[in-house]
Amino acid sequence: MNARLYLRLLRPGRTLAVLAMYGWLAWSWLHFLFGLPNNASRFLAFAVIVPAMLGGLLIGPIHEAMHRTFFPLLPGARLALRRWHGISLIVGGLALLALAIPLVPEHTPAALAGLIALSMALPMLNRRRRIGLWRPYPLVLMAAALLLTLAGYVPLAQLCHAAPWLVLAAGMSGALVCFRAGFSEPFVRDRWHDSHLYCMQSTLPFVGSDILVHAQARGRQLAAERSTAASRTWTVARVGASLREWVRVVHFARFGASSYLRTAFGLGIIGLCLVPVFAGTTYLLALASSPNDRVTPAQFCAQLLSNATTGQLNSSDLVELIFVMPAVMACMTTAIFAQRSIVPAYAFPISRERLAAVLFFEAHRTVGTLLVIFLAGWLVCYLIAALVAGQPFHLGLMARATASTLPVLPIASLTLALFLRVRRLLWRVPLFVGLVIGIPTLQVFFVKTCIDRAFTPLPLAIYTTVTALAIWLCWRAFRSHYQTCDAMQPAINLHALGIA
Amino acid sequence: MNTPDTSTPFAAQSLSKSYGAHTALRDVSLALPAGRVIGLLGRNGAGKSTLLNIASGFTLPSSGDALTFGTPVARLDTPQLTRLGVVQQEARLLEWMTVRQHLDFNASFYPGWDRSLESRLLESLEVDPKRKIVQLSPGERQKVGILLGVCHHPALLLLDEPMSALDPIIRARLLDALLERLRDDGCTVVISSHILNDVEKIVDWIVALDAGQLVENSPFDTLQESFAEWTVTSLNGALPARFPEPFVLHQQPGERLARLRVRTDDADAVARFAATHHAEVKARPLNLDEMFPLLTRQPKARA
Repeated sequence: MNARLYLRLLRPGRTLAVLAMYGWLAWSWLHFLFGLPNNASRFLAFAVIVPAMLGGLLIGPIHEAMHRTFFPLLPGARLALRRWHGISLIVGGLALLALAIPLVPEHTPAALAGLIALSMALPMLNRRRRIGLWRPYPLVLMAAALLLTLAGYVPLAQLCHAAPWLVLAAGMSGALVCFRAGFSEPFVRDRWHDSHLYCMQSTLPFVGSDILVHAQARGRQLAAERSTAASRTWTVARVGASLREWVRVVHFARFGASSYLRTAFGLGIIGLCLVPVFAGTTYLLALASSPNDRVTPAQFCAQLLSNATTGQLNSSDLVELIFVMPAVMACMTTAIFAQRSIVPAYAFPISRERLAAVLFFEAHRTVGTLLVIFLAGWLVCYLIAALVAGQPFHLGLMARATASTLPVLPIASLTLALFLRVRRLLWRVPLFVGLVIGIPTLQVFFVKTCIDRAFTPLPLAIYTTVTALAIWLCWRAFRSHYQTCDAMQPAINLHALGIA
Repeated sequence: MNTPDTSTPFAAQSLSKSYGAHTALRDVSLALPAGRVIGLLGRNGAGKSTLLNIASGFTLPSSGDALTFGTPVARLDTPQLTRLGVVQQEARLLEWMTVRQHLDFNASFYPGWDRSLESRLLESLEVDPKRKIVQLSPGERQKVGILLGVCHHPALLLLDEPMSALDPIIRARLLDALLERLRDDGCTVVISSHILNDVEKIVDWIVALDAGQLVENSPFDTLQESFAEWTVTSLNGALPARFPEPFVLHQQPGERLARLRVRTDDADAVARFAATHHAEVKARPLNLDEMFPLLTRQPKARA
């Protein structure tokens, strides 16, 4: 195996793109959201978190190959990949060290080298035979790692100051142990049993890519092979005519043994991750737009809370993005998730009318769940903001976020109707973009202008009417579509739309 | 198994494999002959895939010994793996790669990778090397799995349902390619398939499993000579309701005409049977499809 083939496996461009994206997020969270001093956030980011991410990204493609059935048969593959991974760890480690030395001058290169080596080697111990497909998992892991790192930051920094050579020796020894264990034969042997593992580089751009669609189809297939006590007793006669029962059947076909609560929990992680990410991003943008007028996190949170009730801000209009982006994201996510649930995984022994009803119900249940999750995300966000700003929290703070998020329901319904109605892909793209980006943006700004009247009877009546109309249009589209569609057609994905 | 024999492609002694409470293989002992095309037969769940997985080192035995090229399967390494080719029913490949990239990747681990054979197979199996694996149909993926399994000229080629997703034309081409490999390389081929009409064209040895136990391990010619269908026509009176001879494995009795499926190595058995039952007996050999149910329902191993 030569360098060219190894680099093809690694895909350096994608590796660097993912590293830059998550690395930037990690540093910005540390500095702005957690309010760490600049030197501390740089120390944690460049000596611990970014190396761990790079280590994970370097080992990911190798683990992916190990999880394929051809791998155990390749003579010398384990050792060849161990050699190349060792080289890439050294090159990557040195590059990070070169970056960290000027950025973290208060620590010695020896201590930094020890931390970087250990952080890069730790992901090799990943024994997971299965990786969840939902991209928020890295965010959740990152958040957990950040919390742990923050808790242990002071003693770690003190140790690096007091005994840098000890840190170097311990880091290098730990890295060596991880390296030997990560490529040992027993560690590698059984990975081929589960081929349902896709590294970050493969699944870019994370939404709608060929590999992700394939992975989801494979995941459904694997899930369907598992059974639950309820599914084992299902028969057509037992299921009968109940819509609720048939919804469970459809859900089982799509997610296997996974219960709806578990699915909702997974969706919840997405929502809970996205809102703080957007909040942090927006704060960074606000800072970048006014470098001479530095806003502290407490001031920013106070402005956010003030804006939540009045719609007025004292500083940059960029903070408006904090409302626009989650609304757009909520619409986009619900549209994507909901449009996936409109394609049945299998042909079921039910009439087309019933199939339309089942899938309509399933899609709207997904939308409703996501709506609740996004509102919960906002709630968490405001609770944190109130804590940081030192102000009391009250439910009135949720007014603008709620008013900005509720239109997700009619927008998702209209998007679904669009997917079913508009046959020509050329038209779908601008309509999709208009629906999930244009309308939420407009309505966020509209809500701002009349936040004090948003929950009076007239706007609520208009919202209810528009939502009912959108749901009715969606139901008509479902019923009409399932009278004539091919029930086994694959899911419409963003690739088909020419977006990804 | 004290004396490892490196010339025997695969040998097993008292081999058992269990998955939890389920026993997939039970006390299997056999040695595959070198340079043969071996048909591995059995019903679903008989243990065929488990045996092939053990031979290729994918799975380790629960008890007993399993040696591939004289090396315990747990210790298979470069010298053995370069001589081993495996084609699985459902090859799991790196989906993001193109066929060409995957071939290059695998080829880099084999010193004897044959580019001209690769080109010939790409053409005859009609595989487009520029396409991504993720875009291929299951049948096309199976073809790529075949390419990855044979282009390094393995001495032992294990094929687990390699033709299940292929159309008849491609199946015929694959069989030709396998025969070519046998002729040119003298490799041992073990093929597990339910498409017995195809298997029959190339096999010269049969190994049959039933419920995890070995029930047959013989040259195919010998089996063809011993299995037959007899059409028995009575010359005098009614035929018995049931023929008691132990070599009669299956019978469709009738008053004047009976059809029997038998297994006997005795050349005089037909004449003796005709004389005993005052009947005329016409014998015809069985094909593998007809032999299969008889092979896989025998009470004990004949190896």
